[in-house]
Amino acid sequence: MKHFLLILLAYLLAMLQLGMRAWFPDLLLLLVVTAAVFEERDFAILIGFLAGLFLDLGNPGLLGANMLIYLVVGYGVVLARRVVYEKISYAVVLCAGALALKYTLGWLLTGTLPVAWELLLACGLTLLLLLPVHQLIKLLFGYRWKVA
Amino acid sequence: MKAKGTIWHDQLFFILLGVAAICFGLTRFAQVRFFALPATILLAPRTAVGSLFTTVTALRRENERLGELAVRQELDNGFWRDLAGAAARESLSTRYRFQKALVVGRDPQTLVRTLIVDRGLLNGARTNMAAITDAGIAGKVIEAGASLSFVATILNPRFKAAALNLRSRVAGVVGFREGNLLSMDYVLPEMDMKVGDTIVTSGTGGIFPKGLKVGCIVRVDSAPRGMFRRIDIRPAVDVAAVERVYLIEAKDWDVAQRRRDEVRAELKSKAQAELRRLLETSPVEQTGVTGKATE
Repeated sequence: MKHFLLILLAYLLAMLQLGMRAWFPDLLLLLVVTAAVFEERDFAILIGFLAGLFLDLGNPGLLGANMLIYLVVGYGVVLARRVVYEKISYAVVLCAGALALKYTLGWLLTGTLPVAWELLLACGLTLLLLLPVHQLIKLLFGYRWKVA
Repeated sequence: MKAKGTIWHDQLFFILLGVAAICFGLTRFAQVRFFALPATILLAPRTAVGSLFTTVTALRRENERLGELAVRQELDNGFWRDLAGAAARESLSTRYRFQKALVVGRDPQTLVRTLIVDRGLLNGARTNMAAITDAGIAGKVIEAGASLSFVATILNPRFKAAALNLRSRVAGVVGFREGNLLSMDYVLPEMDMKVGDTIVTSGTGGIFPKGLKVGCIVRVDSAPRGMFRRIDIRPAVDVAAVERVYLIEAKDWDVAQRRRDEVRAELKSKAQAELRRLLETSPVEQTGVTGKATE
């Protein structure tokens, strides 16, 4: 049930994110990062893949790009969470890394990047929203910090 | 050596990575061919919500347009039809500006003397604008606040309007009598007035356009005790039941007001000059009178 709700949330966030300007905070990435920190590894990988799929289906012509990006981000967070598992402040670092990974992969795959100010604003807003979203998802799904 | 679970996770990752890479490598044609249907299904809720917003916005605009149309139709059907003549209809449609105002309050004692309407100076309402309904005149604005205005109804003792008999064209001044009745004053006994005659505004007061219905005569005093006849009128508008009024003003209101002020100033200066002249000449006349008396 929890997994289904997470997938539904990913779908809703993807729908929300479609058609938004480039400076809009990447809420889907926050969900993937949070889920990858707290959930089991296979589901963390799966939700990254599905999040990308939902975005791709709304972006004709770039099918697969977001799937690759969010899948790699999810997997990257799963690998990194052993190190940054213990404190919430580490999640900021994790999210910053995920953002860097996302835009780097995006640039490599599609050859495009948002304008500098939009890129900075999107990253800033995403990082600003990290803790509230993180806490909200924790509250909604009853996640607890635990030692890896 | 990696644990069994970890290997499975890695396998899952690489399988999904392969799927994503294949999707990314597909041609545009193949992407459309294979993913058009899933995309349509997945995006259906979003499309539905988007179209709902569009529909709601369009409906709201349509509603506003129809509201304006309804006001115009209401005026056309009820109000315009009852006007005294084609000239008045033309005059109203071309020379006056209408705005709808909802009654949001009444005077607490009688509920019919004063109305509070939801249009003020910010919405274009001004003092001395006429307040009418589709049945006839309802009153006039006596004070305009920022967003609310006070309307003295026809049942307010302060209310006066120049009026005439639609049949005999006898003119007079309509004001409040008592209860739910109006009176028509300054009508001489020999004037032709009958019970049942319709009274309309004469247009000479400067506030009400000519030809708006005021009411019907319900009593004519056939044996006047004073100089004028007593004429009672039942108002055409049921003030107690009025929920909205139309505030109207002449499109050249400013020009008319300025002209009235100029005329008033001119009359005042003439009256002052006349008074001065009288004061200057009166001692001479008095001397003359005194002289005659002494003679």
